[in-house]
Amino acid sequence: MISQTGKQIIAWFQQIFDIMGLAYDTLICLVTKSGRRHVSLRQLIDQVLFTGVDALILVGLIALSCGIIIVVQATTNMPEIGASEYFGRIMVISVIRELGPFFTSLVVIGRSGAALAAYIGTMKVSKEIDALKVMGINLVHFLVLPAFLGMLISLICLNVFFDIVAIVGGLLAAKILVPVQFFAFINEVLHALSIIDIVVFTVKCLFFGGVIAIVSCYYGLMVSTVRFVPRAVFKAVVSSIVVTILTNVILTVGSYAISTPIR
Amino acid sequence: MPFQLRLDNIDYSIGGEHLLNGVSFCIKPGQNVFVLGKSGSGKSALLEICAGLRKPDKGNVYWDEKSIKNFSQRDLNKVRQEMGFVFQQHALISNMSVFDNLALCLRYHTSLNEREIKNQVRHHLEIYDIVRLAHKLPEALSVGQSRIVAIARALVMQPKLLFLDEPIAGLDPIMAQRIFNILTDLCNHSNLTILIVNHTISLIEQLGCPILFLHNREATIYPDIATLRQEQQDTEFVSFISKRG
Repeated sequence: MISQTGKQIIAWFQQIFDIMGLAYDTLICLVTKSGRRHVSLRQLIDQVLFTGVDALILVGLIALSCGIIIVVQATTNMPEIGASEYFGRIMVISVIRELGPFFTSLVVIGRSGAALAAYIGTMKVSKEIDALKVMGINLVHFLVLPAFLGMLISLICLNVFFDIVAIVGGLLAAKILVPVQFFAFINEVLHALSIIDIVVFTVKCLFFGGVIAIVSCYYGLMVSTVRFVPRAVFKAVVSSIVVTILTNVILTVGSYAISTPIR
Repeated sequence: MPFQLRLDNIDYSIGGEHLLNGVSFCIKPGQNVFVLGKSGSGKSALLEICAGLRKPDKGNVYWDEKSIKNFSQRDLNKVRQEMGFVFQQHALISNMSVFDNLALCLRYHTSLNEREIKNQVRHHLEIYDIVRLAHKLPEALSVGQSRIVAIARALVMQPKLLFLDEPIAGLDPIMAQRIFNILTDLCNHSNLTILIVNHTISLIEQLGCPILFLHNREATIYPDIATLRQEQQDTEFVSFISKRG
C-alpha cells in the first residue's frame, strides 16, 4: 500500500518534470532561429482557425451573458451602495481581469485542449508520430510549437473579443435598467482601466494559453494504444483546469499585492 | 555510400512478453534482407528497433558502426534524413495532402525553394504513377495507394537505408503486383541497404536475397529461401513457406 502510494507520487512528480521539460524545449525552440524556421506555418494557421475563429460564437455567447448578468446584479442587488455609478470599475475588475481570461480558458480547454490531446494521441496510435521521428522531424517544431503559438494568439484574440462583447452586453443591460449614456459608459470603462489591468490580462492570457498547449500536447504524446486516447483527453482537460485555477488565484493575488500599495 | 546496420545482443520485451532474445546480425552496405517469422514473432518490433524508434531492453544498434545510444537527438534527426521507413499502416500525415506528405521532409531538411521542391515531388509522383493523387488527403486513398505514397515519401530524400514493414500485406492482386514491381526495381537497381518484412515468397525467391528468420525469440540469417527450407526445424512454418513458394 505504502509502496504503491510512493510509486504514484514519484510518477506524479515525473509527469510534472516531463511537462516542464516539454515547456522548456518549446521555449528554446521559440527563441532559436532554427527552431522558428522549422515551425509549420500550416499547423499554426490550422490551430488559430480551430482554437480562435471557430470558438468565437461560443465565447461571444458566454461574454454577452456575463456582461448582462454583471450589470443586472449590480443594479438590482447593490443600488444602496450606488453600484450603477461604478459600472466601469466593476466591468474592468470582473470582466477584463478575472472572468474574461478564466472563461475563455475554460472554453479553450474544453474545445481545443481536448481536441489537441485527442489529435496527437490518434497520430501516435496511427504511427504518424513515429513517421515524423523516422523522417528526422523534431516533434516540438512540427506539433508542439505551432500549437503553443496558436493557443497564445487565439487566447489573446478571444479574450479581447470576450471583453468587447461583455462590455457591449453590460451596456445594453444598463441602457434598459438605468439611464446611462453610451459614451459615458465607455468612458468610465476606459477610465477605470489601468496599466496593471492590461498587464494582468496579458500575463493570464499568455500563461493559460501556454499551459493548455503544453499539457494537451504532453498527454497526447503519452498515448500508447487506442484505449489510452480518451484517458489522455481526460487528463489533459483536468490538468489544464487545475493549473489554470491555481495560477489564476496566484496571479490575481500577486497582482493585487503589487498594485495595492501603489494605489 | 549506403548504410551498414548492425544489431548486437538485442533483448526486447513488451507487455511482459519476451519478444527478442540476444538478437545479433549485421547487414552490409547495399545488402537487401527479408525478415521472415510467424505472426507475433517480433518482426515489426525488430524493424522499429533498427530504426531507433523502440529502445531495446539490452544490447546495441549500430548505424555505420556508430552506436545510436551515443547519438544526441539532433544527431539522430540528422542521420534519419538518410533513412526511409514504410509502416504497415502507411502512417501518412492525415491533415496533409499526398503532395505535402512528400514535400514535408524536403521543406524541413533542405533549403530548396518551393519551385524546386515542387519539381522534386512531381518527379517522384511521376515515377510511382500517383500524380493524380497529389491533392488528395490520405483518408481518400485506398490501402494500396496509401502504401505507394508511403514508399514514395520514404524515398523522396534519397535515403541510404530503407525499412519496409509488410508492404504487400492485405492488397488486391493488381496493387500487390505494382508494389512487387517497385520493390523488385528497388532491390535490383538501387544501391540502398534494405530490410523488408515480407511474406510474399515469390518475391523473395525472385530476388534471391538473404533471409533473417525470427524463431523462438532468436534471429538466424539464411543466404536464401532454399537453405531456410532445408535447415529450419519449424515444420509448420517451413510447410507454410513451401506452399506459398
